[in-house]
Amino acid sequence: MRQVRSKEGIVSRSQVTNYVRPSTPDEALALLRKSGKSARYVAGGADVARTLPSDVTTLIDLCALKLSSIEEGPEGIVINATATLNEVLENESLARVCDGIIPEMMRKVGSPLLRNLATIGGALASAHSWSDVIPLFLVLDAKVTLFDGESRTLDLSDLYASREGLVDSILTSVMIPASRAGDYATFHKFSRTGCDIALLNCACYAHVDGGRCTEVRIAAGGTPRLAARLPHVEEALRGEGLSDETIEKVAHIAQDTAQTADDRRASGEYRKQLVYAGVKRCLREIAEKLEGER
Amino acid sequence: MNERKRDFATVGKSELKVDGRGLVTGKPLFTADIDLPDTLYVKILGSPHAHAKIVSIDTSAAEAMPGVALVLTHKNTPSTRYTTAGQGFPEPSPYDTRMFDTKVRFVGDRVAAVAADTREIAEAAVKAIRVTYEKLPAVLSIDESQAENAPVVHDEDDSKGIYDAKRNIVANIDILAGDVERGFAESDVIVETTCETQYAQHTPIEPHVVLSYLAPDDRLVLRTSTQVPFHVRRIVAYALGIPVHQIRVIKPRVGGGFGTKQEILLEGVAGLVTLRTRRPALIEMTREEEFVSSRTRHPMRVRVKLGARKDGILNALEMEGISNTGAYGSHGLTVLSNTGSKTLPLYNKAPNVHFYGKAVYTNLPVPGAYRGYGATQGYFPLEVAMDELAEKLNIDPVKLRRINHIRAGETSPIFVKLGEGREGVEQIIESCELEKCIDIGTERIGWAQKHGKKIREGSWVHGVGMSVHMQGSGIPEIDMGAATIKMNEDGSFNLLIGATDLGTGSDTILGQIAAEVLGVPLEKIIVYSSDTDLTPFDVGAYASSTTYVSGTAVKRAAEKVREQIIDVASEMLASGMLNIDPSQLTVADEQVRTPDGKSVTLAKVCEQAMYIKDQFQIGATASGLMHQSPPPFMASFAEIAVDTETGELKILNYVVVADCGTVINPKMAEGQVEGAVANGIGYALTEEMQFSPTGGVRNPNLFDYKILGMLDMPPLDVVLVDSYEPTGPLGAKSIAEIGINAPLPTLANAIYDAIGVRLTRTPFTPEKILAALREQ
Amino acid sequence: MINITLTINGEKRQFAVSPGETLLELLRREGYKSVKKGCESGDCGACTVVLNGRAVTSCIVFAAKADGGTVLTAEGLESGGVLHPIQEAFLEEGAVQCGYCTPGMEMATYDLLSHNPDPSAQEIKEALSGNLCRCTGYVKQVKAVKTAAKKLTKEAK
Repeated sequence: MRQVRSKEGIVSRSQVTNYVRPSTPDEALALLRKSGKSARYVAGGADVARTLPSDVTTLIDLCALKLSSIEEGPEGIVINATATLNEVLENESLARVCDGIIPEMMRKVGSPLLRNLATIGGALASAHSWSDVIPLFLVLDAKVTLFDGESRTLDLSDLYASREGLVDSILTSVMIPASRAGDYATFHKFSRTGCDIALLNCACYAHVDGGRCTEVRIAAGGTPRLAARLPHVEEALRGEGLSDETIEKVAHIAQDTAQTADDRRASGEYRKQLVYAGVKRCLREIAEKLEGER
Repeated sequence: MNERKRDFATVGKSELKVDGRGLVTGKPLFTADIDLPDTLYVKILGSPHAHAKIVSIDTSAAEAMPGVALVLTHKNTPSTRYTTAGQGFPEPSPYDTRMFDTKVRFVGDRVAAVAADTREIAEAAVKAIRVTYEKLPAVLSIDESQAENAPVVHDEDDSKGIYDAKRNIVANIDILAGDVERGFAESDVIVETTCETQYAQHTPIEPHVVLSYLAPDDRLVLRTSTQVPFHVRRIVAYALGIPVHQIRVIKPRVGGGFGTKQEILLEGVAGLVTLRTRRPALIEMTREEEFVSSRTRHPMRVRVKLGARKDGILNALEMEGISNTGAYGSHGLTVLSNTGSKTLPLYNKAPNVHFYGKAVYTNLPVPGAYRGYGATQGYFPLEVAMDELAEKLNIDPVKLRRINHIRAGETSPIFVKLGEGREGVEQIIESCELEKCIDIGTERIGWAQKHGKKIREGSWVHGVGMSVHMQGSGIPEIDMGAATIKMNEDGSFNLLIGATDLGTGSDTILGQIAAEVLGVPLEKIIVYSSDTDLTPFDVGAYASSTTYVSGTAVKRAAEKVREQIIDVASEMLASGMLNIDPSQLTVADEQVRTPDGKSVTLAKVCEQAMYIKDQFQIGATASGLMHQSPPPFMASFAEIAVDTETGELKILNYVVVADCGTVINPKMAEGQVEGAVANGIGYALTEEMQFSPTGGVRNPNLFDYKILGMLDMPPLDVVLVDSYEPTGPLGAKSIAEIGINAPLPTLANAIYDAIGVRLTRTPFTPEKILAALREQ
Repeated sequence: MINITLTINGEKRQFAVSPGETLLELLRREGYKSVKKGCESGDCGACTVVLNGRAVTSCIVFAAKADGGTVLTAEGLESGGVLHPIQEAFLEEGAVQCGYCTPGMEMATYDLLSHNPDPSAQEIKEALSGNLCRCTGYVKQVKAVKTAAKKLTKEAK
C-alpha cells in the first residue's frame, strides 16, 4: 500500500491550509487548475486522509457538489460519483443487476465503516490495484462520465487505458447497463483476513444463450496490477458452454496468460494459482446458477 | 491449606466488571483522556538506520522553533544504562539501554525527543533535527548475528549482564537432567523437528502512552499505560538518578498490554521533560511507532528431539532454542528459559531431559514480554514432534499425550533446575485435570470420527489436530503482591491492591475473593489499584500471577480483617456474663452470626470500632509470596479444511478445554481464553512483521499487518473444567496466558492430518500451505 | 481556521477547526474522550462515531467535511445515568475487557441495529468487521449485539 509518510512517521495533516467546498463541477475544476500540485480532490476522504503527501496544502471537497444520487435511466443505472459504497450496496435498483452481484462484491470491500465514507467516484478514480469495484465494473461494461468543462462518456476500461485518465477532469458519474435475461456475473476475492484488500480478485460476466456464452468479459485485479480484462480467457470461452472441462481449460488459460508479479503479500507464482482458482470459481458459480434455473 | 469449599457466594459467578460501567459509557479513564493545562507534546526521532554511530546531532533549528520547550539527546540526558524490562529486582535482563544513546541499533531506535506546545510543532521540530550517522554493518538475522566476526551490537563497555557481548549473545542456558545421549540410545523411536516463529506484535488497541506532571509538592507523577507500575517507579528513579520516593506512578485504565507494556519505555523521557520544564508531558506512540519501537514477540528457532520406547513412553527429551532478542536484551534470558520451563515438565515420564540455547542480539526491533512468554515458541515444535512420534509409533496422537503427560502427585526434574532466568523451585503438581480436558475435547471435536479420515469436499480436505499445554501461575519465590483492606462504617470495604488490571478484570476477581471471605456482595468492595502512593506493592501483571499471587494476598488480608470483625462482634454479641467463642461465629450475608441465631450487621460492627468503643480502624495488609507455580492445563482441538487449489485454510471448529483451578469469574475466564486463542490463531495464520533488506519494518500498520477481525473468528467452544488447587486462593490457579500457546501446534497438526504436510514456519499462509502441498 | 457547526449528541455546537484537522482530533480536544485513538488510519475502528446516521472511523474524516452534520458518540448513548441497552448488553455479556474498543463497537452496533433490528450472527460480524479487538476474541461481543437487539426490540414494544 502506498502509505505516504515521512521517515519520522508523521501523521498530522497540519500542512493543509485550505479546505474548500465548490458547489459546481466548474468551480471544482477551476480550483484544482489554480492550485495545481498543491491541491487534491477529496471525496469520502478515506484515501486522502491516510496518504496525504506533505506538499498538498489545499483540499477540494467534491461531496459539496451533492452528486450522490443513484438513478435508473433508460440505458442503465447511473451512480453519481459521491454516492458512498454503502449507498451503492443498499440500492435496490443496483441489486437487480445480475442477481445481486454488486452488493455481493461491495460487502467484501473494506469494512462497513470504510464503506460509509468511501465514494464510488473515489473508488474508481483512485485506481487502486487491489480495488474490488473496478474489476466487477469492468466486466459489467460500466461507462463513466468525466467533466473537464464539458462532459464526455467513455468505457471504464478506456479511463485506465490512457495515461491521461483523470488528469484535469472530474469523474461525475458511472453508469451500469441494465441487465437482461441471460446475463450472469460473479465475483471472487482472495484475501488474508475477512477485512482486507485483495491478494487477487476475479470478476466474470457472461451472457448465456442456449447454454453457450455468447458474450464474455473476465477481469482479474490485484495481480498486483490494476484490474484488467483477460482477453485470452474470454476468447477461449466465447461460444462455449460451461461444462467442467471447459471451465478447467479456461481457468488454466487464465493461469498461463495472466500477468502477475510479486509483492510483499504474495508472490506472482502464487497469484497465478489464484487466477486459476478465481476464474474457476466464478465460472462454476455461473454454471451452478444455470443448473439451478433448469 | 485451604478447605475445598464448593458453595461460594460470589466466587464462581460472572459478576459484572467493577470498572465496566465507566468503560461502556466511554468515561475518560485512559491515560490520554485527561487534559492538563500547558501540556507539552513529545515526539521522538527514530533512527533510519539499523546500526550506526551518531556522529553529530544539531538541534539548534529545532530548539529555535517557537513553541519548542526542550530537545533531548544523548548530550543532555543521563548516561546511566538500565534495562527496560519490567521485572523484579535484580532484573534478570542486561542493563544495556541508555535513554538516549550515542549509537543506534535498529531502525526506529531512539535518537532524540522534542517537547513542544502542540503535536504539529513537535513533529515539525523533529524534522528539523540534523543528525550525521556513521553507518555500521548490521546483523539482520540470528544467523548473521552468530556468524564468525559478526558486527557487535553492544560494543560499549558500560553495559552489564550480557553473557558474551562480543559474540552478540545476551543469554546462554544449558540445563540437563539425566543423560540424554543414553536416553536416545535406549529409545526405540526418535523424532526430531525444528520450528521457526516470526516477528509478531501485540497490537494492543491502545498504543503505549504516558502523561507525566508535577504534583503540588513537586513530586513527579507518571500516569502511564503500564502493566508494572512499581517497576516503572524503580527503573525511572534509577535511570533519572532521583529517589524512588520522588515518583508516583498511577496506572489508569489500560487499553490492552499482552506483555508489551511490561516494559519501561516512555516514562523516563516524559518524566525528564516534566522535571526540566516543570510542565506536563504527553507521549503517545503512533501505531507505526508501536510496531517499530515498542516491543514484539521473540522470533525463535527451536529444535525438539524426542526419544520414546515402543509403547510410546518418552525416554529422552531434547530442546534447543535460539532466540532473536533484537537490539536490546530485555526479557531475552527469561523468555528463553520459559521456552523450556513451561513445556518440558508436561512430559515428565522422560528421566533424561536436555534444554539449552541462547538469546542473541540483532539490529532489529526489540522483542520483549508477550503472552505465553517463550512457551508459545516452545510448544510449537514440541507438540508437532509428539504428533510425528505418534505417527511413527502408530499410536493415536491423543493416546500418546494421555500416557505421557504429568499428573497430580507427580513432579519433573525441570521444575527445580529451570526457573525464569535462574534456578527454579521443586514442585509437586497438586491439581491436574488434563485428562478430563482431553476427554471432553476429543469428544466435542469428534476426534475419532474425523482424525485420519481426510474427508473431502470438492477441492477442500478436512483434518483435525490437537495439542496439550501447561503454563504456570506466577514466578515462585520471586513474585510478590500485597493487599490492604480497610472497613467503612456501612459494612463496605476498600480494597487497595498493587495488582494491575489491564482489561484482564483483576480488579473484579480480586474484589470477588475479598467479598467471598468477608461475606459481602461485590458491590461492597471498593477496589482501587496500581497507584504506588496508595496501594501496596505488587510485581504487576505478568507470568499469569495475579489470581494466584495477588489473590492470595487479598485472601490473607481479608481473613485478617474477618478476624478483627469477629473479635469486635463477639464482644458486641456477648450478653450478660456469657462470652462468645469467636471460633463459633460465622461471617456471611453482611452479618456476623452465632450458632444460636444471634447476629449483628457488619455495618454495626464497624460503627462500633470506628466511633463507640476501643476505637480502631478495622483493616489489614497481607502479602502473597508463593512457593509453587501450579500450572493451569489445556487441551486444544481444531477441525480445519484446506483448499488444495489455493492453500486457503478455514477453521471449522475450535475446542479448547482448560483447568485453571477454581474459576473465580466464568465469563471473564472464558474471555481470557477466547482472546488468547484468537491472538494465537492470528500468530499461526496471518500475522507477520516484514522487513526491508536494510532492517526497516515494511508493514507497521494495521492495514498490512493482519490481526483477526470479527469475521475471522471460527466457532470457538471454551470449556473450563471443575478443578481445585489446594495452594491457590479458594482453589484458583491462572488462565491468562495458556490459551495463546495452543493454536500454533494444534493447527500445524490439523494441517498435517488434512494434507500430509508438516509446516514448521509460521505464519501458515495459504501460499506456504500450497507450496508445501506442491512439494509433496 | 474554518468555522463549522456540528450537532453532537443532540447539542448544536460551533467550532473553529484547522483545514486538515480530523473529526477524531476535534472530538477529543472538545472533551469527547470516548472516541479513541488507535491507529489514525481507519483500520482499527476505535474512533468509530455515528455521523449522519452511519458509523464511520472519525480519524479519516476531515472535520471540515462534517460541517452541518450530526454526530453520536458513546457519551450520547447514556441518558440521565441510565445505560443504553447496547451498553447494558456489552456489560452483562462480559464483552468488555480493557474497554478501549468498546465505544467504537457500541457505535457500530448502534448503526447496525438502527437499520437492521434483528441481525443474524453473520450480519453482526459483517457490521462490526471494522472494529478490531485484541482482548476478547469477539465471542462475547457478538452475543452482546444479539442481546442488545433483543433489549431494543423489547423496549420498542
